[in-house]
Amino acid sequence: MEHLGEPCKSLLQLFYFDRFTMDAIADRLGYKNENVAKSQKLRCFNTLKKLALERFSQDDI
Amino acid sequence: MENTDLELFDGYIADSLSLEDISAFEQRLETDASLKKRFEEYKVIVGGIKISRANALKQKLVRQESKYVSTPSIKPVLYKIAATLIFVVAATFIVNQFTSEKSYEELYQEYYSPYPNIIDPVSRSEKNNSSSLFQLYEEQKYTEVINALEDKERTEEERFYLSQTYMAVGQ
Repeated sequence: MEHLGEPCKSLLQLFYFDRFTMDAIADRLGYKNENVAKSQKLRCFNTLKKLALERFSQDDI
Repeated sequence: MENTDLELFDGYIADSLSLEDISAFEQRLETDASLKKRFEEYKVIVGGIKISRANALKQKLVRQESKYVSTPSIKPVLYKIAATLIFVVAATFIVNQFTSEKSYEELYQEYYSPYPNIIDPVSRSEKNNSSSLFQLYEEQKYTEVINALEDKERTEEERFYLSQTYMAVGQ
């Protein structure tokens, strides 16, 4: 997570840990609307997945 | 990962899908190995996010706590030692007061001192061979004082010093 950087780190933590709604996350992180925040979440998730796969082999996951 | 996958996985984990969607998703998981693999990866990633956030919060709490928890001072220890010493001394004194093995006679000898002669004090400069009863008392010639006063009519002062004389000789 430390390698992910902002705003992805905050966005994913707010959604998956703090259980904020995407609307609330958009408002908090300054996205134009919920859909923009959702698109950003997908990008962030894929980036994190890529980082994780780089670090660990597919078999570990 | 596609957005549809992510929304489906999020909905399934958050239990926000309809019963039909849940059933359909679980059926797909059994038949679609690729979907199952993506879902397993999703769960690992989400688990990592949660653990990371929990650890960060824990560290934040530890930092906050360290600000308010002062380093142990030696003062409370000194206060405790002082309080203990005072208690021991006081307890020893009280116990001694009530368990003293001294008899009344010993206590009397320890604390009694003759009342001073204030009626007719001995004057060292006077060349007077005859002493008054009070001067005899002052010179601790108690037997003479008793003999002189015992069988005569006494003034108030004489009665007082006679009683003091009796006390001095332990009667």
